[in-house]
Amino acid sequence: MTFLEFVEGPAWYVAITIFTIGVLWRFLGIIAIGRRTDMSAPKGSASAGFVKAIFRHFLPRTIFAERTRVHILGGYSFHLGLFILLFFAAPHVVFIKAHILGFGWPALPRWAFIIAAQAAFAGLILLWVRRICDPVMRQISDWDDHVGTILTFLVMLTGCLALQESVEALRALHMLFVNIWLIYFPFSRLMHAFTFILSRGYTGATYGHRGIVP
Amino acid sequence: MARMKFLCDAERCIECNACVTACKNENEVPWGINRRRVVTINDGKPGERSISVACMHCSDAPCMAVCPVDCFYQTDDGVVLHSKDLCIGCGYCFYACPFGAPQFPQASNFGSRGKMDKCTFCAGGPEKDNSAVEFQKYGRNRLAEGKLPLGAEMCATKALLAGDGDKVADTYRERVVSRGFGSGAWGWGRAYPGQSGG
Amino acid sequence: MGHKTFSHAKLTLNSNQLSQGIAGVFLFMAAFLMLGSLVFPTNAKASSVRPPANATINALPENSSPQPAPKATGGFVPGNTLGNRSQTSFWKSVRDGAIGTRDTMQAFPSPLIQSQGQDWRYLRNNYISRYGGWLLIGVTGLIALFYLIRGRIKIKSGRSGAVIPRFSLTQRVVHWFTAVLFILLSISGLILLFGKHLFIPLIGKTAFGVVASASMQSHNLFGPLFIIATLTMFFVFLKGNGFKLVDLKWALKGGGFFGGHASSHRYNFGEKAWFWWAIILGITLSLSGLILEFPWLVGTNMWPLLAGLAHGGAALLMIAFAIGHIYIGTVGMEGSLEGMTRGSVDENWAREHHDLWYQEHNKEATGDHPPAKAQAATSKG
Repeated sequence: MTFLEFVEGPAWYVAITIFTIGVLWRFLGIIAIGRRTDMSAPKGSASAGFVKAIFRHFLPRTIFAERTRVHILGGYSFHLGLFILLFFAAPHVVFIKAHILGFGWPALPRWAFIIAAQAAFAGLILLWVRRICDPVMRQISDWDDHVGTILTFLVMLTGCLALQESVEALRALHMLFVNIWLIYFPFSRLMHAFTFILSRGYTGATYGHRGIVP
Repeated sequence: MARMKFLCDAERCIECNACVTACKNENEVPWGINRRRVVTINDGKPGERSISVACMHCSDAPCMAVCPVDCFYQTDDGVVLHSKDLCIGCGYCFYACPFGAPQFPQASNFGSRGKMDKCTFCAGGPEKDNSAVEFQKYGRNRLAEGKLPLGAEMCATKALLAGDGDKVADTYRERVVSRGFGSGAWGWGRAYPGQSGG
Repeated sequence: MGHKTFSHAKLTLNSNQLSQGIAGVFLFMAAFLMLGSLVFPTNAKASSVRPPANATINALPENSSPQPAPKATGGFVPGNTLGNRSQTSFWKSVRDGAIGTRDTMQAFPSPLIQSQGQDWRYLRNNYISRYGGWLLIGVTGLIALFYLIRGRIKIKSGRSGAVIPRFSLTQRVVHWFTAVLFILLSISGLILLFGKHLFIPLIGKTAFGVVASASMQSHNLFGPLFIIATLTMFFVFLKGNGFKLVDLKWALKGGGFFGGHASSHRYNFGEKAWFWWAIILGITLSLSGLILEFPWLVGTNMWPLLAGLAHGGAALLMIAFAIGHIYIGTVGMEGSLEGMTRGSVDENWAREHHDLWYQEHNKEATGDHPPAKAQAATSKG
């Protein structure tokens, strides 16, 4: 078994299993904690507040927009870029079809995929540099934030190195970091990719119950 | 060892593009790539000349000199070949080549050219002679079969000559003598400097 | 048997229908031809495949005796096959890159010989990669020598403990954003330029092919981001980077690197030179890089050649200066790095290296006393 076969075979299945079980465990665990019972008479719908808050918080509050412009720019650039390149890059679509879902969808042309990757890289570097330079951000960051950032950066970097799609070693390196990243994911703040729904929703439900648009 | 050379007799080439087609078919060159091309100068005017041109397998090959991964090598026959496993598709060989021989399969956005492809003098590549892998990457290895490049073999007017440089030069010299003119073998001054013939 | 007979009968019926159909078609065609002969009556005579008597033919008359071959006279050559002159000027034009036509697919015009590639090869291999390599080694060597002689430049009067703000959060973020890209691009670019000579003897061609492939792909991906970084940096750091008379004095005094004191404002001559050096070379790198990544932007082969040379040359000059910049920003001088990490510098550092800026800052601060422990770090970008 070559190294590539290993990281795309057994290692990949172990990683994706840990990822799936871990994410479900933590997500369901948070749900199981439940919401604190609010005895007051409801002035509005908690469910509506839950849904509203999830979407409302995609937009920055105007009073913070000026202060957090690097954050907003970097955050959107990184997350949108990453989403596009994760699900619409031709090699990823082929991999998803072959290893995960069994079906694929039309992929983006290479130039669009590269532009998405550039946006993601720019955003990630910007956010990381800001995390280090901004004294407040540095204070509230711990090793988990940095490890998550570095791992994500390495996954993206090795993916970028393998862009010629002709060298097996580079593909294997990318897959190796993907596997490490998947295993690390459920036990770290990378979980925010799923838990943002619950945290925003919790706030939204609490305020929705009180009849306030969160 | 013989020094393999190409020679295109501009007085004989009739721009039929048979060499282009023969090469493409024999080597199963991918879509969008022609390893050989026929260029016509002064098309439609008196004194028009057509010349079939591909890699000339230069003695001091510029592609070899500028390749950042050193993927080129020259065989004992003087044929310049390259390894597609090493090629990174940077396009430097295309910039350096005087004859425009290196070809790339993709349009170039964000430097995505794919692996370089060029005339191999029908001599394959670094893989085992006449293996399936060699054929798939580089085309037919006719030299290993004891045959000469198909483009030249197919040439109806025998304008394109390929083979041992001395013999090619002798043939051409005879032609020049019997014609009484046209002694400049196209491209030889650049490709094979300081050597006799042509 | 009965079955067979039936099918035969059916077949007969079918062939009857078929023959009727064919007859119909023939009838129609005959009618058409008759109509045609009525409309174009002369067509009836054109039945012979022979050329008409008055046709121009190029075959020799059958009974003519072979004539003696004509001699070449006055530069004319016999034969008249493809023109009758041996055209030296024609072949010279080909050598100079005459553009021809071709029937097969082509992306660019088709010269038979493009000699610029020779010049490109010569300049790249003999000047850029050779002298560029010596430039980088030389600069590194000089800095190492300087470090051995002068050592780390300390804050003479020691740290005061009080800090004053130097770089805003935006400036720091933009600086490090550019720095990350610059390092990624420098490493990948240097691998592509020198790797052939440095790494192939060490790790072999196959391993280096992997490294080079990775380098080129990342270089092409990060390149366009560097354009954005350079332009942002220009606007964020422009203020205070104009040259003044005091900078000339600073330069004449050798910047105080070899003893003595050289006054300067917020940025000294060296910093200003680096700013403009990085911006001008950054723009050169951006434009030439765009041409190399998108050759269809310019069409002909000439521009990518020039761009390739400009890109390599500019990159090496920039890296050479960057080595000095990195040295003096980190190990070379005490107290300079924190300006770009925390955003604030020690008062004594400011007084020793940027006295005029320090005085201005004090004037701006409330009253005449220096601003103790200014919370530079919390200033927003």
